[in-house]
Amino acid sequence: MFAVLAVLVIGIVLRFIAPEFGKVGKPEVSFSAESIFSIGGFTVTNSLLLTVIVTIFLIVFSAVATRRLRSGDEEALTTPRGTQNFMELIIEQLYTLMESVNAKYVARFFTLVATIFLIVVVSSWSGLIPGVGSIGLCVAGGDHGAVAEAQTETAAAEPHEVESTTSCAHRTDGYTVFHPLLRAPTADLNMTIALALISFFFTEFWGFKTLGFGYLKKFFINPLKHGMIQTFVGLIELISEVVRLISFSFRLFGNIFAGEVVLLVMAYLFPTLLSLPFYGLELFVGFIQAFVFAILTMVFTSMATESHDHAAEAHAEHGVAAH
Amino acid sequence: MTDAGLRLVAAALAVGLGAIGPGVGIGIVVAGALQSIARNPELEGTIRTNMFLGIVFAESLAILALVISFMIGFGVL
Amino acid sequence: MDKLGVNLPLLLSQLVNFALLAFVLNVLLYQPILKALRTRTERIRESLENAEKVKQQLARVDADYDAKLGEARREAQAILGQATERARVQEQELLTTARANIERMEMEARAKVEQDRQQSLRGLQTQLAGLVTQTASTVIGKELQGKGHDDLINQSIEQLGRLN
Repeated sequence: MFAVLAVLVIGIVLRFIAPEFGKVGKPEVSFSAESIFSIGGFTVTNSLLLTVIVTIFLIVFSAVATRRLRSGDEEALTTPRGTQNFMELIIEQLYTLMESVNAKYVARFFTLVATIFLIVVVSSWSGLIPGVGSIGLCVAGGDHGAVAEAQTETAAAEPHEVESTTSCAHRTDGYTVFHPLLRAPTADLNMTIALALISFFFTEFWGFKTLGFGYLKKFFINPLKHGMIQTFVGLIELISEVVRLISFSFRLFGNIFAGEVVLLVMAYLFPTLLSLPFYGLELFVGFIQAFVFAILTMVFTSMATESHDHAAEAHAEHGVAAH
Repeated sequence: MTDAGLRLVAAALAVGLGAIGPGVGIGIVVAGALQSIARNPELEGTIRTNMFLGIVFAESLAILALVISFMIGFGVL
Repeated sequence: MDKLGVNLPLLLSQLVNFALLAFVLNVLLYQPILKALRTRTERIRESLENAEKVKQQLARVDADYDAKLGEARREAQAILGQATERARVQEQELLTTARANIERMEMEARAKVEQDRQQSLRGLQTQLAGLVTQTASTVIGKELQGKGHDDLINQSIEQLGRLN
């Protein structure tokens, strides 16, 4: 109770003191990841930078967690402790959950689905660390993508208005665009599209592997044999298979990006205090999106491994039995 | 109204209108899931997992609307 | 797509990053932990089986013990029964012997009493005969001699015997 009161008081005080120390710019929302530096012809963006950091973190963390286990320590096997216990909990929960979806293929799907879950949840939460997205460089305007272009377009019409919107506007040496050093990887479409592609190809790969070319029977149904309606259903399935790519990538991107924008706007409206509850919400959203991404991959892949013919026959038999 | 302004209005309308249906749908999904949890509390885990899957399918419609909105807003369409 | 910030090199680098991460995590995280979980499950199953075995053994020992206890109790019961029976028989014997003894002693006592009576009666008769003869001679005043004297004695004895 006291802590809550203290936070409230500090927040309200900060709300009125903070503007005295510096100019609070309008929240700047960039749709795409900003470039930080480039090696050769390859531009490294801030989200790629954080992706690499997250990857290294995950690798180091898991290496530390299973260090004693991999060395064949008997004590580590019987009494898991600390990070090892934590990772065991996560892995076991994931495994049980996936087993409840498809017990037959769980061992073969596990690596990919668990990796999707881990990288998505850590990436989404990494965007919530203070400093990510708020510490950055002021670079020369112009390569800021569409938003900057749109701003410069309007800037021509109303120059004073735009100048006050950017955090780097007070600088007079030409560096006028703010590029954060780090950006949540899942708030970048490259990452989410890459994950969606992996999930998509994983599903198709297992579909073809278990059913051979019979997998295509799910989408191309002979209208003379099963009727026109079935053919259309198959085509719709084919479309939804491809649309899945978009919904996968944009669901994750949309949720995390929108969350960051909400945090930013709330922090702008009332510093420190108003964004606090939204941090809790974003933690939850990040977890749920990771969970959904992983489980949907699992569900779609296990659906692809099931023969459609059998399902149809079982359905028909069921229908006959019911009548 | 300028072209940019029209685009902003169109983007806002696309996502705003597109979110109505999924919103109602998610409400129905959650209501059903909560009712079944209240009736069968021992099945809560399974129901919750499937509820999230249902929510996600409804939500993906809103995501499509969001994509269209982005496309309009950023001049892809 | 370019306006959304998507470009091929970044996409490819993300794909490569993910593949790398999946590979490394598979080696570093999933395989060790899943193996440990499997080993642990196996061990738990084994120890459960062992516990079940021990329990069965215990139950067997318990049943054995119960059986032995029952047997001992039955034996004790039997021994007790035997002892009681023997005691009863002995008691009966003792009782019979005692009764016989008492009877015998009673008989002896009775015989002795009878003998005494007979003896004293015979003495009394002799005395009485003498007394009667004396009294009679005193009364008659003359000493009977010879055959007449003996006849008189025998006669009085006979009378007494008839009287008796």
